[in-house]
Amino acid sequence: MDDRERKPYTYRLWGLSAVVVLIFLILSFNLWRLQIAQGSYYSAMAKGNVMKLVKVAPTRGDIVDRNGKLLVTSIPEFVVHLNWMDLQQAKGDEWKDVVKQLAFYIQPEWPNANQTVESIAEDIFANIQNHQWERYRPVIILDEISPELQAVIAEHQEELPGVSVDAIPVRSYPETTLLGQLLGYVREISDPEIAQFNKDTDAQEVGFEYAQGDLVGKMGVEKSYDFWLRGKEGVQQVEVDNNARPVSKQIIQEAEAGKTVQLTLDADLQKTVDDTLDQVILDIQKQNPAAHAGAAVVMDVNTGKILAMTSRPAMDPNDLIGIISDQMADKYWPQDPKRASEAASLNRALTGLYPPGSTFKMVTAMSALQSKQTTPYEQIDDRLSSLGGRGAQQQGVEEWGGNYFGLVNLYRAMAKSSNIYFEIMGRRVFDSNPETIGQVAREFGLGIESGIDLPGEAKGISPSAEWKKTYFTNIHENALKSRDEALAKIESDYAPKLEQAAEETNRQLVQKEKDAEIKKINDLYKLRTLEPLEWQAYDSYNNSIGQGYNAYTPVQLANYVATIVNGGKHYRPFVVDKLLDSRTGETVQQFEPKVLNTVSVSPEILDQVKQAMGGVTTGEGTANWLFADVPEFTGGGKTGTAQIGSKDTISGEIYNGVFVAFAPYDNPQVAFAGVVEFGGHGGETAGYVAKAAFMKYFGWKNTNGG
Amino acid sequence: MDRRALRNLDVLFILFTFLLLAASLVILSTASINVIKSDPFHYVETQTVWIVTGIVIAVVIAVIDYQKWQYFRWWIYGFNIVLLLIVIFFGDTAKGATRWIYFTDSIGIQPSEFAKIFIILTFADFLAKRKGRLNDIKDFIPPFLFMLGPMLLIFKQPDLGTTLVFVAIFIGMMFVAGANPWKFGGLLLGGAAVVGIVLWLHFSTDLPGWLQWAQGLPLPLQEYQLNRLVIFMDPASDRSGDGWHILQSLWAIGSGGLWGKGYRGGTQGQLNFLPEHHTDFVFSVVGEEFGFIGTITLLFLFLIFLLRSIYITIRARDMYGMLIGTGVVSMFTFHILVNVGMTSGIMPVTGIPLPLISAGGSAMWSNMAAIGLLLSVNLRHRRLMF
Repeated sequence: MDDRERKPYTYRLWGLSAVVVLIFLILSFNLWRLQIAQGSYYSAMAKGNVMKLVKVAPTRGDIVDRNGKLLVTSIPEFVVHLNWMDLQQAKGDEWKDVVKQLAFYIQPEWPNANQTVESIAEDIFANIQNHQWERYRPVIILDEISPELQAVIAEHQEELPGVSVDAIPVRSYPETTLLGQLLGYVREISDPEIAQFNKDTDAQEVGFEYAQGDLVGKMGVEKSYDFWLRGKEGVQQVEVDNNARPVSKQIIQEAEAGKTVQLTLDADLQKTVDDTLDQVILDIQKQNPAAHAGAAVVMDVNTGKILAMTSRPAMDPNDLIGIISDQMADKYWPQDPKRASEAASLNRALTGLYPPGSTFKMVTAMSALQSKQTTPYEQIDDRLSSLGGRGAQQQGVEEWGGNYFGLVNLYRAMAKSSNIYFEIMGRRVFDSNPETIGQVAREFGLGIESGIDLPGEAKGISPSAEWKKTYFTNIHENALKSRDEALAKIESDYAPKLEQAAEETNRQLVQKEKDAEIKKINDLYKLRTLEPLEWQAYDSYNNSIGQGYNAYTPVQLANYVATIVNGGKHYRPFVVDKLLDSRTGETVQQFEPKVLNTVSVSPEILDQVKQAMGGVTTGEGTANWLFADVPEFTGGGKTGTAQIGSKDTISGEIYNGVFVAFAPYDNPQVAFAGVVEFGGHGGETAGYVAKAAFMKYFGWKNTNGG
Repeated sequence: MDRRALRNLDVLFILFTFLLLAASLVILSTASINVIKSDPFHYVETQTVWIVTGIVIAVVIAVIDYQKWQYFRWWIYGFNIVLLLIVIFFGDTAKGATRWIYFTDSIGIQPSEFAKIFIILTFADFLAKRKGRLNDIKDFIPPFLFMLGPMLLIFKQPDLGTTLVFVAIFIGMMFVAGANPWKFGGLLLGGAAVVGIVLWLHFSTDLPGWLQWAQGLPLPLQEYQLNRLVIFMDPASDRSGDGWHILQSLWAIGSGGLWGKGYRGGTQGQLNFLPEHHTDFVFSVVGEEFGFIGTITLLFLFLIFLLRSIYITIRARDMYGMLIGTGVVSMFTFHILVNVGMTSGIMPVTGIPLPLISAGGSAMWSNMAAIGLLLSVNLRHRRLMF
């Protein structure tokens, strides 16, 4: 080719060079864009790939009583961990041999005794597989291992790279059943609980969020103070490869141990209350084998601090760690709805709603005195006829035990627990204003949430015409609805039958059958709507003596007595005194007593009622014998024998023993409330618990030297 | 061959070839170190073997006068077709494609790599003989049919990447051979438009009534090949497969910044987040560990290499040599464009290695053979008139 002939091709090749240069310019510009202009963005993305933040669990705080006695702690439990990072040190496939070797050593303590070494190794492989997206975390292969196995693994450490024996903290309750329900227990958070726990204001303040897999308190103090007990998680930065296997580790933030929670409760006093209540229940069981439950509360009247809180049947939180056996599950949460009330996990002092019986009579007295319906010295003849005409007498409740106490004023009526006197006083108050008694009750914390720092308290019901109307309107509406549905069903069922009935006689038979069914439905409806919506005289009588709709928790009853004797200050009850730094023991936060309200009842009336309560445990009082052998005792109380169901039913024959008390008389210190289910007379059951509690608290001795 | 011919050798071209080969070993000594844990230097060692044997191949080919290949053009063309047929009928399948012929358990070749060289050699001859007769559209038909046979066989494997390399070689050689730029360019644009419309119809879901019949038009492409196109448009749409690979590659290159994370200091490659980081995605490792400085330096080496190749081509003794050089340049350029473009997110994933750098024997041999051809052209270049 000569030059002239080449020329066009040369030009075209120059064109090709231009294309090549252009392509390289485009590629270079794109690289500049990626590496220089947006380099920091891509850096962050690449970093996010490999840097995983791993939580380091903090040690959960201890719980101690007011004297520092240890009630809940975390103890180390030894587990076998398998760590990918170190296991990788084994060459090639040798790590599989390591796992097999490990399976051989742990076989004696493997939960399933019949498994072969090979099948254990399979399980371990599966376990590793399950955690393959978080291989930077060590996997627990076996927990609760014996010191012997620890020694074996330590001895063969060289052939087991990646295998380690580590101590992990496990909750322990050294006092077993002491304060079981109040302390609660700890388990993994459930999905619905995540949202619930995240409402905790303390947690929100520091931006802490609960997440799946967290261990949390499931009830009691463990739950309500969970945020403080759990401490702060540490953060470890782990560099991982594309299979999420760890490559290196670095601690960014040390874990911060949880706070020590110091309770207001006194473990020794608690033990006395527990043991006495157990003994009382045992004694009742001799007559009534169904008796097994009860509750008692001792509280400081000048602060609202709970000093003791017992619920029976007892709960040992240690039973609820790890795998819960069927037997334990049935004990704490019975499947059978009929036995639901027997659940040992119930804190009856807080969630058990009991009719207060005669212990309610102070509310009736205070309401009558405050609304000037009576004076302490007005005398009533203790006869049913004092209620009024035949109609009133039919609606009233007779004197208990068929007694006649003669002429009774406030003090005698309280000492003797006269039903007639309080029925009359209550009726007067209800007639003048049906809401007064309920209002006074609520001022003393009855029928409202106490605000105690424990989860799950029951609210209770204080008598009110308003409440009755709402409650029964609801019942009546439901009854009407189910009646109409049932009648409509009968119509549609019988329409074709009547049509098909060929002969007249046959038709009449079917019609008769239909009428009978309709009558049955109507009768049932009548029965269900028997109770009128309006407040009745019998409502006044029943509720004045603590029956009827009244239902309160022992905590509410104790707080009610405390409010009477401390001069009318309604404190919020609480169980946690302060939070301590777990290392230094310094107080981090002190919880102060809080007055929720001051009652409207005048101090004079409070004093008169207190005096009346003093008459119960002395002189001719219903519990005069109780403290007879304790010369140092001063104070007061009120017995109660609460009918559980309506008269003429089976539960109408069963009585809960209720007792409330305070001591000493001058400048009272402590209040007590106790309920023994199926206990009968309150003084003879719960009364013993109060006596033991007071003797323990004040160091009183009885004359027998006990 | 005349001893004096050695003085014709383009020293810069040879120097940059060696610089690229050395870069390959340096890059693989970090990029491939974690591929076989028990043998970290496996790929560096085998690559050294491929380079050394490749140099021998290049020298042998350089020594042979390239014009001799013209005598064997139909033998070569036939051999190429037979080889590709053998792959289709007796080849070994890996990752859904049949591309390999194995001689032993571990030694095998990828005939499609060599097909590129064979087609350059034979097509250059075919075009050289039609010099000056490429002015009309009907003149384009015989060259197109000449290419179509081997291209279809490779497309069938399936190997979309190499098929596209053939397209690039075809376009480059046709253009330099004198195809009427308006007619040929118009035809290419028209072809591209047809491909675009067909793809659009295939992916469309809400066409107007009169076009309903064409909605979701079936295409003769594999599912994964179409997916790659979709993913190329939106890498985040597929966070597990190819889309994930593209993202990982972008993060690797981007996170390198100006200076890079240092030799073996990368995380994307070293911790295996990057797929195929010793072959198709080796450029991402360069970007991550050597930064913008590293990628630009590597591109600079390639650019000089290609410009020297074009220079050699311009000085070729005859039309045949010129077209061989053009084919080789087109092939290398397209490889670099697609590979670098793919790893940096401006080209779809097609599984084309980075020439002379990526680990792999067949590619190294065929690339070295191409360099040998260029050298052969270089040694016998036209005497310039001074």
